[in-house]
Amino acid sequence: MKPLLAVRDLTTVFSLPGGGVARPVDGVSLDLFPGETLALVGESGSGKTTLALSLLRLIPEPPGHIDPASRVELDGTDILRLEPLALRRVRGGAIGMVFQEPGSSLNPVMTVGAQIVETARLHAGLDRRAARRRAGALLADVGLPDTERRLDQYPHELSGGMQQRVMIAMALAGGPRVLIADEPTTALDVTIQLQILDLLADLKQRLGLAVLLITHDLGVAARVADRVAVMYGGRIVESAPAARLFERPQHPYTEALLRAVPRVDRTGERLPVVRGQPPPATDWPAGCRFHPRCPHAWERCRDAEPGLIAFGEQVSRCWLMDEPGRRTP
Amino acid sequence: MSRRLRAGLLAVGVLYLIALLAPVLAPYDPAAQLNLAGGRLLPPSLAHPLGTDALSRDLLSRLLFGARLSLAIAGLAVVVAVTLGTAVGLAAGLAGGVLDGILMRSVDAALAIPRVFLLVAILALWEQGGIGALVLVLGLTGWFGTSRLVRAEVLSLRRRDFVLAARALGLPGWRVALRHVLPNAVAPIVVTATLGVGHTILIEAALSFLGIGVRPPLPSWGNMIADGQAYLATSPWQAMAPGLAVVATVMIFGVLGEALRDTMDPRSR
Repeated sequence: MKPLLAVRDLTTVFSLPGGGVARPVDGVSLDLFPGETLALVGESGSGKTTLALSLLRLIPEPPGHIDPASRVELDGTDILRLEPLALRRVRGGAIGMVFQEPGSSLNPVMTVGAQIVETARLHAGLDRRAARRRAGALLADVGLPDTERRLDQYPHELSGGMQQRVMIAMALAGGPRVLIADEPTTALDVTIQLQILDLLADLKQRLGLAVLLITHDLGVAARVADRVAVMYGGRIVESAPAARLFERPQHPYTEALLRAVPRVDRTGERLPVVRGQPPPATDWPAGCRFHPRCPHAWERCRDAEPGLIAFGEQVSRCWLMDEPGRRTP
Repeated sequence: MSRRLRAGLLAVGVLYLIALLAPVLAPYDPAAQLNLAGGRLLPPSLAHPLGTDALSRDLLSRLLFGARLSLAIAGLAVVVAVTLGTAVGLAAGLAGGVLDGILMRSVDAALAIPRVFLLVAILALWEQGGIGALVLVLGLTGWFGTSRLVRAEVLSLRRRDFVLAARALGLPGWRVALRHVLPNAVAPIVVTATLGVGHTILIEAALSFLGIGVRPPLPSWGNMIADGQAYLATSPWQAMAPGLAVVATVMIFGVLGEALRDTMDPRSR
């Protein structure tokens, strides 16, 4: 099967005041297939959000820029080389995006309806009345009842969960095939988180969307993802079908992350943590970027960075894939 | 709505109503010289509540028609100034970079020239311009502060999540600017416009006092004060009536502006 969205060697560079450069996203390749949910997980500062913004060229330029060798192909068309008009058609059209903070991502002085209508008119070319009907239908789709009243409300009149449903309705208004959700549940209560995740899973099913879900929460990934890609130091370090990744993580970083998830059946124990700090994007470590924090690291890890080494459907950027005997118990 | 805001709105409403109804309210034609022989510099009486001036014109009538001119000139000049300032501030704030630098350094340079000197110089050279020229020149020299204010507001708004979200939905730049950025900057713009009206009335009065704003025989508070100052010792109401009108009006716009700021601008709460 051909991927719907194929990211190849995506590198995003920021020039810093004082002459330095940061590469929060450094040579990332990803495939997103039609009808699947790919979860991109990683800790804060691993480059997840910059990656999401780079896909639609939304990073501020300057100081940022995307390396010209990068490609982001949607159905074979490279988004990074589109003219401004064609790019705007992709944004909110073929690719919808949902952000972390629904409260601040909605315009406070426009009604919910006006904001959805604006997108619907732009991308579907509807007239005012048809766009309003579509906005009502979208709100019903995302599980907001009483749509006529909701359309005329302002964002501050809605709860956080309802606001996120509105954001999702806006992202769907252009009839996208790909939905990028950047930490869509992080700002919400736990019970609401589950509702939103179930909504995303349901929409994926009903509309045949491909979903790129960006999260730092492995529990979120486990609940909805078909595949999981783990990001560390601006790179993908491991990717595999969700079940396989959670059962048999190969990369020591993934392993460490999974061990650090709190469990209700093991209370009272000290939670194992990943030692050390994530490296800064201005100064990635030489060799394997995880080696300063890795319990298994040896000279080879310091000297050379491993590529993505395949093991069935699983790929892992770790020399242990090559020399499993080095794994310390 | 706070009591101050209600009082301010009411007072400004009454002012504009008086200005609008001047022809109905005024007992005489403001330009008519009623009785040059025995009716000059009359003190306030029932027939002339504010007395008459040196040309035997009814002062109350002149004051009412003066309100009309002053409020219209200040209102229109502020509309010109705020529109221009908003456009420049929006462009500078959103474009950033070189355009922002050029626009803002030009504004800095313009602000370094005292406004009244600039106005005197232009209006003294443009004698035939009349009221239209006065409005235009007041407007064209009054937008610098607004442009800075709007630019600062835009700089903080453009980093907000909903602006990024609007771009992520594929809205064109002008639409993001006009529908998402600008409406969120309306509160400080309204406040500065309101305070600007009071300020502009003061400047218009000063220019008319100097004889280069509203020119006789048209009545304006400024030229009424100028006419009256010669008789300060003998009939002080000549200059005091229009003077008090200016002070009261500026104060009313000040109160309304402050009240609007308190209500609309969350940062000053």
